[in-house]
Amino acid sequence: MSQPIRAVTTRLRLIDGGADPNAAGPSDEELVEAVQRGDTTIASQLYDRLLGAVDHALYRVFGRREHDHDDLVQAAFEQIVLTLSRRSYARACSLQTWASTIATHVAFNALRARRRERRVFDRDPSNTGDSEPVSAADLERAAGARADLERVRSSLVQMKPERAETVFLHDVLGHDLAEIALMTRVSVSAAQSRLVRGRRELRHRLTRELSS
Amino acid sequence: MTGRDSDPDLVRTLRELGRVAVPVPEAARAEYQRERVTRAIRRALAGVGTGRSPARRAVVWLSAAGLALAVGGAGALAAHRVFGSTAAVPAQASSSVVAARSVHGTVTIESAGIPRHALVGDVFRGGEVVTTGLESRLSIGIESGSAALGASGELEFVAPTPRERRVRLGAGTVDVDLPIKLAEGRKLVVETPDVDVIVVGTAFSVGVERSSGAVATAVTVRRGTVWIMQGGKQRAVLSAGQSWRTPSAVAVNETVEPREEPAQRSTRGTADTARPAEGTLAEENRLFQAGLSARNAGDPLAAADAFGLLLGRYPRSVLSEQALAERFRALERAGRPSAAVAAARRYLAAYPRGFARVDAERIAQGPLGER
Repeated sequence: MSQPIRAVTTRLRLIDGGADPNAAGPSDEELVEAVQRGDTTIASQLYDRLLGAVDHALYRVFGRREHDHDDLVQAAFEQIVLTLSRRSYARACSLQTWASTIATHVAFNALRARRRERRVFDRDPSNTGDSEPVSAADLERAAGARADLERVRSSLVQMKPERAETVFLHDVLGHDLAEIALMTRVSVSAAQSRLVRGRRELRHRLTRELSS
Repeated sequence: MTGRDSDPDLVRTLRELGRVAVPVPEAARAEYQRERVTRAIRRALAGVGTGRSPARRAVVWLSAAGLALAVGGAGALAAHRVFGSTAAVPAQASSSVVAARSVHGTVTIESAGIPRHALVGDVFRGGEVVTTGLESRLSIGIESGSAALGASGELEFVAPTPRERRVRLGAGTVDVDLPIKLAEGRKLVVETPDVDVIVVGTAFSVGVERSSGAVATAVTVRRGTVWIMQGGKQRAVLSAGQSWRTPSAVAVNETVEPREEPAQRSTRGTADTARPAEGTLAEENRLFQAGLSARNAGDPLAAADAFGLLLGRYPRSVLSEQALAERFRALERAGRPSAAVAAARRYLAAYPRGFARVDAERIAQGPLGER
């Protein structure tokens, strides 16, 4: 039994890089300074460093990659450059956390704009874009779960922006209150208040929707 | 800290949202997005270097537009001047200027046969033709309002006269909003292959549809009044809420032949230039992906063929720039120098400031003996 294991372990060797994508490139600090200098040569590095955070935040707000996903990614990056150049980034959280906050803000703004145009979640099944694969056996359960998540998203969009974004950043993206307070430029107690009120409002909206 | 007033079921549902797996995007789409967004980042960073971020430009633009509106009621078109100088443009001058306000996706301007990418602030002059790719759009400051050219559209600007501003809609849909009535005696004409739509201050949209060699124009008016002229005669007068459509589609003559992608025009004469339908993106992605797979598998010739097929079938594809670049690189790797030179030159003709310009220029010079 042990022979195959030994055979495998002898083929494994430690190589540089891989675990930390930041290790080979500039640090967050260096990237921020380059942005503030207007150094155009770091565009690709900034994109590679922050795309994951931006893409995941957008995907989680919408539940899929929408037809204008590229527009939103671009808008988020333009906002990131703008806020970094204006020194709005306090450097108290990681650059990825900052990027996901901005992407969340961009996504909620886009959703609110669509709601104003009465197009929120009015989805064409033929234009599905990317969505998580579901096996046939789990189809019914997954459809129910997706419907629940869609209701949550829909309710979040109808809430006060600061409450919805605080709930999303805390409960969906997993940021802690101290980080959220820093990123949204409020005190920790104000962030906590937004979270509590936001959850209460969300629960109220969901209950009302289900009962109706 | 967050335990107070916690709602375990709700928090669990929210956590589920955070655990939803994010699928990896298709390689072709990811590559396109990377090129596009890094370009936008570079533009934004260049703005930082000059103290002009996109948002600040927008603020300056809005300020100048407001000032110009206060002065003469035509400030919205001052954007292109404001990008170069913070001084407001006299209203008289701005009212005769047509400039790009926002650009989404692949938007190309062809001027004197030379195509270039449209950028915010670009000023359109008589004779220039602007085309939008799939899922692309262009917003233009035009006269005392704005116009938006939708996806797969083509709009030609005619040199204005003191009495008339004219644009020619060759394909797609243009949505026009003139909140301020034009000065007396002035009019805006949207010319389609079969009719002229004449306005002096209104909101309306015009679409050109092509099917089986026939062309039809559809007009919808949201506000004000629109005249529709055909062959010099008035065919209809539309008010708010009314729509009109060419009674029977007219046969297409040579003047309304679908335009070919600028990159194709110089090298191909009578190729199949049918504009791709909205539903072709999956097939475009599939062809591009096939090219990338062949490239990654070390088969540059098959890769070049796949990219060539994509460009031939969908000359207006949003992936055309990437496909052109991949093709000349693949041909070079495949040991086809002459074809690589031709492909690189084709890329440079279509995208003189494209992301692969350096490579294209190197290859376009050709190996010794080929120059």
